[in-house]
Amino acid sequence: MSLFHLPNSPLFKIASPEDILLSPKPWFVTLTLAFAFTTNLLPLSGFALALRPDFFALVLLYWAIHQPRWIGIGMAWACGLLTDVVEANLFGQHALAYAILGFAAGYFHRRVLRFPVWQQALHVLGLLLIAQGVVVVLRLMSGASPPSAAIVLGSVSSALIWPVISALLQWPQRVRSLLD
Amino acid sequence: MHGRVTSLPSEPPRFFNRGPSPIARLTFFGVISLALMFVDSRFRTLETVRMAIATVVYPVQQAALVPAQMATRFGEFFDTREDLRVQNTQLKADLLQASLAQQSQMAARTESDRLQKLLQISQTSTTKAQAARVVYLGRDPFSQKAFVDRGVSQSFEPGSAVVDELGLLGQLTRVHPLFAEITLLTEKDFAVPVKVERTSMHALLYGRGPGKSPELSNVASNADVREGDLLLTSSIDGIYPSNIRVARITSVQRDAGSAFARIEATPAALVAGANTVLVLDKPPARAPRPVADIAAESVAKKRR
Repeated sequence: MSLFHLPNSPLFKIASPEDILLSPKPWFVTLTLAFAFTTNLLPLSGFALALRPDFFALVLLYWAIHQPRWIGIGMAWACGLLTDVVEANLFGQHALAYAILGFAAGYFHRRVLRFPVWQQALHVLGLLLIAQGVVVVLRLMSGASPPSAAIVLGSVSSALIWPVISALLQWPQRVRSLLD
Repeated sequence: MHGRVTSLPSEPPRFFNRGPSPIARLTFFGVISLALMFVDSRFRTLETVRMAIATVVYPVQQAALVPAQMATRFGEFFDTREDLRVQNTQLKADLLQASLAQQSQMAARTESDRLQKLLQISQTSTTKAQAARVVYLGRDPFSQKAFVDRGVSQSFEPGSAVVDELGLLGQLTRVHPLFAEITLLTEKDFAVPVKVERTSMHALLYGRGPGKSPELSNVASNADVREGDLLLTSSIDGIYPSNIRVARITSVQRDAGSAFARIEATPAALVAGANTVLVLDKPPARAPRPVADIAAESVAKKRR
């Protein structure tokens, strides 16, 4: 009983736990991270901004779950630092939040992939909410005024597109296995 | 019931050497983050690091703006002649009114200059301004920022006032080589010294964060402040040039239990929708404080 149906083609199938995926190319991991980072910089404001999924965190989480040896706590931390600089806010808040994401992904990566994709999305929602909670607590401690509750929507929309992100990021591996 | 897997190990066996344990790494990076946050919020030493990374990332940011710019161009393509004509008429009418106001002000200015010369008060100089375009609004949900692009020849100075055609927008807080950051006046604890236009009463206008209107603080309950009063910069701080429109008072609540009135105001400028802004140069520095005054103060401090 899934809410959305991805096209029933081998190109869009999301790997089940039994599938052994080919290892992704390092350039593909780098490229997708860079693209997600750029997508986060779209000049949105107001409600659209609150609703926007955190693409960078999602892609980071995906690779931290699928390739924990490459994308670990340190890489996640560095990515968070980059986010802090471009958002011109407190240095280190996203770094800490993303480092926690990286840690949790490393801790859960064997377990999460055993679940069907919608339950994976629930895990992702939980992790992103924790990361967002960390940011909120840090900012309130540094004296900022509380933001509107709408920012939670960002985590929800992120979790909703997790299946799509998973399918897209597995795409090159599928194409290659189909070609073989 | 044999062979049921009860739980999956979350860590690989000990004999695979993978460096420090995840929890040790998390602690390490967590401590660095907290240290960075402390240093960033207390001191201003990380600004060069921030500026370097921001300049490197700037092309990526520009790339992210391309879809929105294309959408705007595409929209402009379908502007009808009629729309443009209406807009043109409106602009001409505005210009006429502005020049009328200017003419009447010219007379007033010569008059005031003459009077000031008689009274031997230093003259108010006209402030210089540089135009800039707002590229995007800040994405941080906790703060109120806007970013403007900066030409190579433009010399922006942190702390300068920024206005749009309707009033004060905020203040330049960080100046990067290619762009600059404006803190908007709705930012929490952003203070602007203002005076009420009708009564010339001085007060401080404090921003209260996203989604809330700024507040005039510490004004006595019996002060003469009404809804609809216009607030102008008082220039008592030496940062904002005087007599720029800041906000209009929208509500005045007087509570019998409190000595102060609760006065809310709406910014005059289009805080969330400004397109083109002017960065005003700082007004000329004031005369230094008399030495005797400072000496008296330090003596008073020592005594305490």
